[in-house]
Amino acid sequence: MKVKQFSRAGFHRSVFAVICLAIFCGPVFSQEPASKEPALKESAPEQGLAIALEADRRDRGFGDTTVNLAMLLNLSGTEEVRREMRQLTLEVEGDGDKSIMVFDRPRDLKGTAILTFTHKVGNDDQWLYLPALKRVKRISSADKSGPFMGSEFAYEDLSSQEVEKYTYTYLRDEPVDGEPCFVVERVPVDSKSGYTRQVTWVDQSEYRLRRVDYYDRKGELLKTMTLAGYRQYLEQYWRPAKMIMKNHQNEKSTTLIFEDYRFRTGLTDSDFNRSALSRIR
Amino acid sequence: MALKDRLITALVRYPYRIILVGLVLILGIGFGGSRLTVESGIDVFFSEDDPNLIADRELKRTYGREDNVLFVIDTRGGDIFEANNLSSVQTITEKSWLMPHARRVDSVTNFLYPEVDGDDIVIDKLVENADALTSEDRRRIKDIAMSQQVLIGRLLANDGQVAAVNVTLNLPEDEQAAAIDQAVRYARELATEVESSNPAIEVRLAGRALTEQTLAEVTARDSITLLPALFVLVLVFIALLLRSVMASICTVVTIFLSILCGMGFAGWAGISLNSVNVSAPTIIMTLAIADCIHLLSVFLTRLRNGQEKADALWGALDHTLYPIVLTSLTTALGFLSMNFSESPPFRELGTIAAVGVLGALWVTVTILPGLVQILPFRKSGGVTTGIPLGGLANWVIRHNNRIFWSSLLLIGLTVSFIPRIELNDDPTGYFSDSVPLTQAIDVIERKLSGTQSVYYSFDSGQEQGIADPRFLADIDSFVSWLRAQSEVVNVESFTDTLKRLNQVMHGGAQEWHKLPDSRELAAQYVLLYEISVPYGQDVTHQISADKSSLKVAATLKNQQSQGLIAFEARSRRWMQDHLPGMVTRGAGQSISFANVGLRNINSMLLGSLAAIALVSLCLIVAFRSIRFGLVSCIPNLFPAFVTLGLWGAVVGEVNIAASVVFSLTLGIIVDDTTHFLVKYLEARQERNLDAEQAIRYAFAAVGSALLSTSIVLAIGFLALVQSDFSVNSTSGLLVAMTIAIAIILDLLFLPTVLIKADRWLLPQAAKTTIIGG
Repeated sequence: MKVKQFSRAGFHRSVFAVICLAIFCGPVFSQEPASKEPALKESAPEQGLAIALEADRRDRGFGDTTVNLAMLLNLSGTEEVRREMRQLTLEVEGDGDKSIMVFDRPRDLKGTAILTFTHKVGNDDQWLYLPALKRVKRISSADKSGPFMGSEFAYEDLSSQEVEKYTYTYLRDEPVDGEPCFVVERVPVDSKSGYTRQVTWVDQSEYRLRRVDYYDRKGELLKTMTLAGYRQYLEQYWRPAKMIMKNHQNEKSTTLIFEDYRFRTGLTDSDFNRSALSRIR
Repeated sequence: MALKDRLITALVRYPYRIILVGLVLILGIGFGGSRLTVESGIDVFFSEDDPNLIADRELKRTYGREDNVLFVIDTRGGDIFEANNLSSVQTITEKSWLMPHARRVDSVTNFLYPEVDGDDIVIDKLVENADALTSEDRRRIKDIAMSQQVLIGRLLANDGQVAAVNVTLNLPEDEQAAAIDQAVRYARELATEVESSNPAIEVRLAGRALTEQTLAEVTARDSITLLPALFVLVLVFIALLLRSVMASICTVVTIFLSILCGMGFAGWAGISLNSVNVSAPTIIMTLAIADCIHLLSVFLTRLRNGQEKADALWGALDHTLYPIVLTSLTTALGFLSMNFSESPPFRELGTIAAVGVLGALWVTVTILPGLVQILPFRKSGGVTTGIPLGGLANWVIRHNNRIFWSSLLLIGLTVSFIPRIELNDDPTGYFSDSVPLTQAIDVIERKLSGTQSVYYSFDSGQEQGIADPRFLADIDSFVSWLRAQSEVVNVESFTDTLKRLNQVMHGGAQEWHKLPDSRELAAQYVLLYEISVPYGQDVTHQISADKSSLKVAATLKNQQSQGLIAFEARSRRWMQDHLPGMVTRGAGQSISFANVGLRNINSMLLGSLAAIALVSLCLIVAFRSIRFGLVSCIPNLFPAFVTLGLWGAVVGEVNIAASVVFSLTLGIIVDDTTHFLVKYLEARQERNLDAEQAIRYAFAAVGSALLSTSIVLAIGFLALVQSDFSVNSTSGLLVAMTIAIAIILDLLFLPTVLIKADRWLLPQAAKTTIIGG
């Protein structure tokens, strides 16, 4: 890995460069090199992509995982609403992962399942099984950035993040909770995305995602996701125990709690198709 | 008596010291003016515990704010689905996402329409790329759009000639005015840009943000053009009537210091300026002018009759001090009665005005006499001061019988028109026809939709409860009832989306266009929809986050306040009869305003009656006569009634302005009556004149000053008619009318009443003196 550690002064200089760039380019962020930092040997886009690729490389080979999710909606501080789901993920060689999200709570949604084939290039495929109708339908929709189940998460935020879905620009180094991080901006390749850009914080020690800022179509900060409670599985794969999504425009937030991660449970391709979707409980 | 003489002597003898004391107090209070803040926005009309405001806030908390910018795209007889026009709609839709603070954008082009494509369900925008559409595509899109109940009458006219793009804003709690300004600026630029690229269409702007922005703009325009114009006009007329530059200077100083006192108090009291209480300076000005004219006209007359300056001043103070004190106190009490209003800005207005009136009194008795001493007044004997009224007095006395009965008849006739007045309080109707917003609203009402919305939030009482089929069926029956009402042009309800999803999931078969029959299915459809829609087109504005309540929005056309209130009551009755378990109030800004307007009129009426009672009580004490106090009610009450009667006969529709007319004019009306009565009584009791001679005396003593003040103020307030803000223009006209009617009644009707009721008023032709007289 050729990402250079910066001195503090260098960090300040690159922050300054980013601010200048933001002023000159306005709300639409340019894809030009973000910095004329003389200390850099690589351009910012190359560096950003390198970080994304390294994070992807480190997570390769996990096979499959299952995890239970609890979604806590904090409504106006007084009431809290809880939703529960399970997520099954299968790693696919040469393409995006396949995943199934099964809903357990609220009761009305029990057994509802979404099967997603993420693709490195082009739109994802998505099927939905509605147990009340006992029917699987393929769903095609423009962009999935709308919040679901009253939360601040969009389905898009939880689906597999393939490297090819974004273009990257390395911005600067900046710590999150004392942990040194690379700050990398990523711009969705799909022009229909609900977000114009995302700024990610990836820690330098393990290349784990620590924080994501989501910017809306106006280029204004919409949400911030913070990830915490990372644990390592199979002595390689890091998974968070908690994701908190804070919406800055409506001041609401949602907490997602991950429990009972299991790796290499023996899931295969045949568990991720239409008929498997309707069998899932 | 002795006190008054000593006071006057001190005032005449030590002008500098007294000016100093007076100034210190006024400037001390006036310093508070530096603490004044400005609050904008429409919420200022409501008190914190207003039930409509609370309902509105609850709605906002659950479903988000409804502040919006509405682009109205008018093809002027063309077809909105024609290629260029559809591209224009799409351009506005897409670029509106970039509007500052935009939260969601709804239009025909981005309408999410679930469709069946083989075995797939497609949930996508109705129009993807308008430029690339074939005429066949456009026909298909038109057919779909024209059959969507949720679009017609809201975002699309039923003849397909006009469309709208609705941008919902997420305004910050602080700095709202600035946020609205940013959004409106962006919207205006976008509208101009789209209009210039497609000459076939007209793009107009409406919506709540536009209302707020226009309100801010016209009030700003008024305060930098009209109010100074009023001020200048008044001063010019004062100079003309008093024929003295120095007297005008004295008046300016008095006005300025009195206003400083009132507004300084507002600053210390922590009152923020808003579009209502900014009229406080104008009110204070009227009373300051009245005080000045009374004192100065007597002073000038005596000076021009050859008296020495100090003697003339002494005489003028002796002549006017008591009535000025009396009228100031009664007027201040009257203004304090505005605290009966439901609406906080009116309460603040009353309080500021009361303090200002007392400030004017303070300035008139401390600083004004000193100023008169210091300034060089010319002693030109040839100039006469004031308006000669001797002829009028004789005429009134000669024809008192005829004048009395014809006045009574006219008063009765005009008052009988009061019930014809219809209240209409709708912020969208607050502007004159020349304001672009009014024209936009006209296009909306005529060609597209309505401008009033009523929102119904149905709470199922449990989490996820909206999926209950019975709950949904109940809402559906209410939606059907709403759609059957003649004033309703559009109903937006999630039940329509559920029906369409059900149909789509059953292969598009028409017989499945109905609500899902199980709780699970409904909940699963909601999830399906939620995970398929883009940010900003989600269902959070219709469904609460915990899925316990659901909002139905109805758009109404051409409704006055009372019609709107009646509609809401009717809808509630229908719910009581058909859905007894889930009766809910219609809420929203339109309803809130209709209610606050109505309740405000009622509370102001009560307040006004209380004010009159208080003023009469003061006069009873001052005159030491219950009967004179009662007679004073006639000229005090009737001007406002006659004005409203005339308004009812000629115009008919009135807004929140009407309720303040009485308060705005109370001071000047009471002033007229009291000055006249004080002088009349003085003549009857101290000078032992008979009724007719006493009337001649009162005419000579105060008639000119009263008429001058009234002319000056009536003309001044007529300047406000030029305002584009109808609360200002209506109240300007009403106030001018009321002032004119008050002086007419005081000079024509009151004397005849005094002659007619002489026996009853002064049974023993008393020789008792009145206090201080």
